[in-house]
Amino acid sequence: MSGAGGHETEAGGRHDDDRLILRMAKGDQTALATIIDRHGRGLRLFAARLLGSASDAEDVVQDVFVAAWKHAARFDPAKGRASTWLYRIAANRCIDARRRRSLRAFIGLDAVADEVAGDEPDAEQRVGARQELAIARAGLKALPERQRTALLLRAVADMDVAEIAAVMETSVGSAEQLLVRGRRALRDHMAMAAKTGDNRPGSVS
Amino acid sequence: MTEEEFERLKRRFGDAVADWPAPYRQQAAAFVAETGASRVDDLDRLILDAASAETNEAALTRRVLARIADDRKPAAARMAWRGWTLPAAASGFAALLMVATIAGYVAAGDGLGGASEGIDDALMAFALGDGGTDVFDGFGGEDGGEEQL
Repeated sequence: MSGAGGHETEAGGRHDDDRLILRMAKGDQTALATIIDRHGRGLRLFAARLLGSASDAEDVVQDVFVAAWKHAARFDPAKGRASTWLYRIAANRCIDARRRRSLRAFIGLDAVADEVAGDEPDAEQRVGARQELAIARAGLKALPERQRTALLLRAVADMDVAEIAAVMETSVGSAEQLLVRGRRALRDHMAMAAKTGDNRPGSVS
Repeated sequence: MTEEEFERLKRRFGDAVADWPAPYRQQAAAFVAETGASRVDDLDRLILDAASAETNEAALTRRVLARIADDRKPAAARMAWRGWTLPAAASGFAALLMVATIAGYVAAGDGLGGASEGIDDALMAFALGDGGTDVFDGFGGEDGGEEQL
């Protein structure tokens, strides 16, 4: 499987990222551009599906790279992979973005509207394969945030359980539980949708 | 074998079930055959497909570099801003304190009326050693002590 983001399971990929971050710490913008090229897509997909908003995801991903640029000197390769570091920043920024959005919605400045490209059930339903994707998106959206985060880190960033735990700042056991429960809930949602022919976000736990 | 156990063993021995040691290998094979644990990979693939969308890394790079450049530019401006805001805030606070003090004196003066002059005279007399007892008698005596105030 090829993750959209990290997926540099080979030592070469990892060390390349480490070197790039070290070069960023010295002010090398070419290294930053390469890091964005390598991880920008994965982080963007992760944030967009986690937040359910393409524009918020765009802001978050920009924040991630600006923060990585500013704090590149703090990155310690001995403590973990560069991709884990980037996704951890992204996960924290997503939490902040979600809180800000909730606050804006609470005080009436913002309507809570999810608008990620591809969330068009009518268009999706035209083709059977796309319908399955629409159901999966609806199921993901209905999952508890931490389960969704774990599933996205696994599928999009191609992380193993230990890396997911590091990004989510939790134990390996908890990360594993989140993955198992998330998968089970998503499968249940898909099975239910297949039975009823309904792909709207339901209550998934 | 549960899905949790299967995942734990996968982490312990690697993704290739065929390479697992004997007792686990058979159990895992049975689990995969019975429950379709290989669906995990399918589900991951489906999630990735569901998350997929158009992205433009070149545009993202341009925007990030522009933000970094912007962050650099206003640094001097921010310092200038901070340079005058601190003294301004301190001056404002001092002025506020002064106004509050004067207002307090004014309010206290009004409350005492003409009595403050009497107190001043009594204290001055006491300072000059002029009949200290008389002075204090005026504050606590039964006959008109309060009247001095």
